[in-house]
Amino acid sequence: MNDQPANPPADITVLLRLAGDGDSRAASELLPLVYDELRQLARAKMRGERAGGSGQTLQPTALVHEAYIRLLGPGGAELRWEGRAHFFGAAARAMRRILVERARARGRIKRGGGQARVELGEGALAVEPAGDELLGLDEALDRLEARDRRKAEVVMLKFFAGLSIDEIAAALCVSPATVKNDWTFARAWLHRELSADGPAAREA
Amino acid sequence: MEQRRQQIVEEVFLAAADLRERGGDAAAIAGMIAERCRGDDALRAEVESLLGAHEAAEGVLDRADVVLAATGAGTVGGGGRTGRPPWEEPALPPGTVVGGYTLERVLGEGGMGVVYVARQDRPRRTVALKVIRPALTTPAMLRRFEMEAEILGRLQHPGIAQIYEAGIADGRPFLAMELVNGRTLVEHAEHAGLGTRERLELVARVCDAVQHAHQKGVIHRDLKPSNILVDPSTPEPPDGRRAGLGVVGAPKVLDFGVARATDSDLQVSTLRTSLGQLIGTLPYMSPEQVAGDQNEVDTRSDVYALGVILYQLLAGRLPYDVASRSIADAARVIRDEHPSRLSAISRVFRGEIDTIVAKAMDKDRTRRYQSAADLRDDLRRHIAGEPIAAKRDSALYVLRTQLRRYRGTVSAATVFVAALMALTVLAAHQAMTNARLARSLGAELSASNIERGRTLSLAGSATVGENILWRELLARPDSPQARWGLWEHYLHRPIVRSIREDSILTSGVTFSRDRSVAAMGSQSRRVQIWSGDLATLHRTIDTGHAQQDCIAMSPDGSMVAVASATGAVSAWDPRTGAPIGEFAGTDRARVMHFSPDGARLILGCADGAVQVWDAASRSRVAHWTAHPGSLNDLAVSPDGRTLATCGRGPAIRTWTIDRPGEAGPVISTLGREVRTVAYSGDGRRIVALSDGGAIGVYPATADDGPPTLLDRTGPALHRFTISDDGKLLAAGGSGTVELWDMAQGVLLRTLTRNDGAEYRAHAITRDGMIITSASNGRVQVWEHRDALAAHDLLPEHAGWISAIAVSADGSRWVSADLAREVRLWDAASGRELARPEPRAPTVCRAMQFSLDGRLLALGYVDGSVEIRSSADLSIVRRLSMTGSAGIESLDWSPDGARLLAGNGAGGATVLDPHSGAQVASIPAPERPRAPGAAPVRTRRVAAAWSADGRLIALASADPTLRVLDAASLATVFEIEGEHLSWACAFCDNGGALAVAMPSNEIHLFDTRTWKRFATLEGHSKVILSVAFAPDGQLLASCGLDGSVRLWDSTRRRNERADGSSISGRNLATIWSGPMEVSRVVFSADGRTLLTGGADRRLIAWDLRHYDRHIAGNLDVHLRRAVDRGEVSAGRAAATRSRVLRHLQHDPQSLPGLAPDP
Repeated sequence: MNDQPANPPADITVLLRLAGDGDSRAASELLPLVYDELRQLARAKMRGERAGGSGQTLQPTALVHEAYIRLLGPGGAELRWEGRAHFFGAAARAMRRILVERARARGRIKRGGGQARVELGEGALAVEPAGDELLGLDEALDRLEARDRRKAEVVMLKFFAGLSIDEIAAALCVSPATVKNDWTFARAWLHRELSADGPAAREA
Repeated sequence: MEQRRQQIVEEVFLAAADLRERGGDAAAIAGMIAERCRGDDALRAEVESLLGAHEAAEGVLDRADVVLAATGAGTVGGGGRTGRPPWEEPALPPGTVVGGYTLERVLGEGGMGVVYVARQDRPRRTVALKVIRPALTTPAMLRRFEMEAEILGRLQHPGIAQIYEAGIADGRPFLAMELVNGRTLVEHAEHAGLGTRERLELVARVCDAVQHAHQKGVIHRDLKPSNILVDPSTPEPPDGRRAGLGVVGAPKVLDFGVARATDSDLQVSTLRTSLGQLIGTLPYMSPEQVAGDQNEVDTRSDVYALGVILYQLLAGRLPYDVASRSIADAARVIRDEHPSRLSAISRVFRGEIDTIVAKAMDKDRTRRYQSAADLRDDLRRHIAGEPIAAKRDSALYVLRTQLRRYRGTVSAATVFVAALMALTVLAAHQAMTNARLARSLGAELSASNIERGRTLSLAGSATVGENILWRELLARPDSPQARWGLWEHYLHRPIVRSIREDSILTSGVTFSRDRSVAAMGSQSRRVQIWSGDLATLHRTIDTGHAQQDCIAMSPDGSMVAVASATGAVSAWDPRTGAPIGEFAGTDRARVMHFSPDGARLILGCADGAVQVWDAASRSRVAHWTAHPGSLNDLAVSPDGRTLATCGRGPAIRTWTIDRPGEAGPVISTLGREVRTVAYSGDGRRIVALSDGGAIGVYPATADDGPPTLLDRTGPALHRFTISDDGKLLAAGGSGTVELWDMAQGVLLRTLTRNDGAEYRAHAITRDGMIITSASNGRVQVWEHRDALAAHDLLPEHAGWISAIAVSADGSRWVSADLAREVRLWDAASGRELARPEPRAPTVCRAMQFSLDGRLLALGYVDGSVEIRSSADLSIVRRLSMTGSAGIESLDWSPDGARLLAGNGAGGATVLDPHSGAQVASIPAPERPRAPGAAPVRTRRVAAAWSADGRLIALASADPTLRVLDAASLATVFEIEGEHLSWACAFCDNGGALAVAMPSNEIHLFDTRTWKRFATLEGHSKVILSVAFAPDGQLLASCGLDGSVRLWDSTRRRNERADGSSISGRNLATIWSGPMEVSRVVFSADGRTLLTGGADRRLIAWDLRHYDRHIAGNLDVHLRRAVDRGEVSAGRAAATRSRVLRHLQHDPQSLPGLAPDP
């Protein structure tokens, strides 16, 4: 199946179902699909926004949900939660990548001196951080992942996919209390990473 | 163990956070932590630092505050007082001595530390001592702190609280500053009952101070009334009583740039700044600061703050009410809403004042006053009743102001006629001056930005500094300041070329064996095929797979294999870009190598398997599990027979390719999980990089000697590569690339960028270039060689170098030292041509080739002069002068008929070099010495002949400078000084004389008017030598401070539009060492600079060397500028060729630049 890269993407519902059943290859194929979709959506939004004047906002959470509906169609509702968890995991990852790319590509998006606003779900980031900040966060997240994978997962689902504590708990098969603790710790840890000169300098 | 510890940290932290949330008091929390950490201080520190971050994070990561996080509103001390978290270090008790200062009492506390009133014994004075919390320091921060503090120390202005000293005592960085007692600006204005005009002058005086700092490249970023104090005991400035003003007061600005010096990054201070402090700062933050783009903040952000202060002083309230709003809302107000105009508050402010304030606070910084000086000038114009510049474009306005001035003395009719005439003239005149003014202000803004870029490049974030410098160069491709600023940047960070892949990460760079072709994989679908020097992009292949994990090129360059995240490995022909086919049935590969003969493709798979494939038939030959569950890296021995693999755990396993699955010797490494392995060039050793950053060199077979560990303590490294000859190892880390000498096991060099990006080293080319990729998406080619010096291996002299000369045709160099040796060099090869024996009778301190290049004149400290052949240094003639003091300088007249010898007695002799006759003698001038003044012992004289032969300049101890007519010896121009001046030089193409002054400045004089047109400041000690480049555009200087500096010596760029002199710009510091540099000389073509001094080395600096780096980074930055809208896409090509023309690079002949895809 890899001989023809031009092939249409495999049915995402099938992939999600497979991923939900523990097929790791299906899970790894999800990311590029979701990523491409999200990127296209973001682009379309940005174009529309330029045409439509200011005031419009780009909301990653809304994008993720829109991508979900577009990719899964009505079949999405029938999907078991495990499958959906995979989707949001991939979407969070993809969203993070898109934001990082944007931050890198243009420093920051500016429109008429305005501020690109990004809603990242209740209790999460409400304004898109400056480019450097996001890149710093991105790198700090990598380090958090190396230290404690689940905590990084929690941060990503909350930050980039806008899931609530309960949703994250369901996605990761842990209790909401654990997610809350993970979030509290990860937030402090990340903040410290971003505040100090980075862990590298501390070790030196 | 480590994991268990992390778990404890987490538990204790969560318990503490919980306790705090439930309202537990500080002592209880601290007690609980102490109890649960059971005396383990490191553990407690870890928990406390997290808890500190937790408290701060509540305001940041959950809420809207992130937008403010990068704004640079660093409020460090000075401002509001905040409650100190109990776990932070308490204030030090009075009497404690920090760095020689005795603390007396606490003055205030800020986010970064505590400010004390402290006493210094010598000199005896009371200072404000800011002591930074040790918990907040890192080595990188300390380094930057020192460098920035030095820059702040250069700010010397009566309106700026002086930084006396910065240092580190017991791990605590401290800043000793001038202690200012007084009221804040607003309180002072109220208390002293200042009138409107006095208030305007008060702000104009603040502008004076701010302008001074801006010229030095320092932006305050946090100007507000509480940072500006007025000490009533300070006398009015001498020019204070202008325009019949009452007493105004002498304001002093505090905390200039302190935010930056005390912090590694501005984000940090703001993140740590408590909400209360932020509120104090917000109203003065410009829209661009609020928008949070660090790169956008420049001197005009300070102008905005000055506008707000002005508003507040006049209106009695702030333009925006932000105190009652949320931060995000306040930021929006500052960005989007217009404040009520001053005139709406009081009719008194209608007209000019309203205009001035509105222009200073314009949301669009390009429409603001472009400098603090510009704002100040308008304030003073208004005070004096002159037309203000803000309204100059309105002719009617000018007319009205003029009328007002003459009202009452002239009848209305006369005024009308005169005004009509004046109007015509005025309009033409003003159109001209406005354009000139705009140009000159633009140039000043740019110069300030460049200074900031240079500062950041050296002491802050290299990336931000580099970006600022590029922005200025692309905006003004002809700007020498921007070009030399970048030159200096690349001198410290020698990146020859940058290539930007537009995807996130480069998955690898692979070369054919002969290095003629390179392939670069990415996490997008594309593979790029480059020439082996990464200079030319041949083609881009779309592999159709979204994410690539790794990439490998066959040794003969005929096949590139690309492994995607889906597990597929496809093969492509790099020469054509055509697909070759798939390796069907591969698993997800983490690493891939071709065997040295190209017959096999060997995959290390993520699941721990090794697969061996036949490259030609793309069929699988063998596979086995090497590291169950996980494989980190795989290396193929140079003979292609053995594999080394690493996975989870500290062991390296070896395998014979022909015996699949049969394990060879296992090498147990010292320490942790091995991340990366590689064979040494001879295949006898395996180099391994382990978690924690250790690099070990292990024998590949048991009988090959003991393992060695490279002695390294730095931060973790990501990926390394070894040069083909096995001598050099390059490893990428966080913001750095390290270079190791494998034979000696020593760290050769650390290439740092401090940009937070994670670097990975992929290859070392045969000419010593290191190829890295970084997590910011750039692929960079670093130059390893310390290649500034064209001939950096010239053998050392036996003593300090005392004189250097270059022949007029540039082919010969000659150098002399205190060991009395004179050496002649071939400039092209750096080869030594002659070193005459016996040595000279005494030390030679002056040398000069004749203009025809045949003869060399040497002057000795015993007063004798020799003429030697420049072919072999054989003596042609020896001229001994009677009663003469030592010869300090020599210069030939342009026709070669005379020789000017300056002597140590303060005079000079004009000699006929052919007969040896003394043609004329210029005695040291007799000056009455102040009673009691010590006699000057050395009256060194610098003597120079102007290029047209008409003038002679003598710079010496008392008086400083004399310029004489060469024929009549009559004095043309003279400046008296009190101290020594040891250097002077005429510009060869006429027009300028450079004199090193006792103030460690260089003054440039116009040789027609003898007016000084530039003051070049930068050296911190006596300047020993100055030299003009042959084209007269550049000046080089060196001195006791050990630095070699380049300056812009053109008149045009050193003068303001109004003819006043801007403090001259030091274009670049090309060397800064601990030992004095006594001589600097340009080569005949101006391309090479020769220096010599106490380090006994004659160094030839190639001044064009880093032009190549600038050109090689041009395209990446140009594309960035186009993306950001700073350069329009239509002008990109023109800008590019202008930059290249400036660098004197022919775009066609420059292979280093790939066409913009």
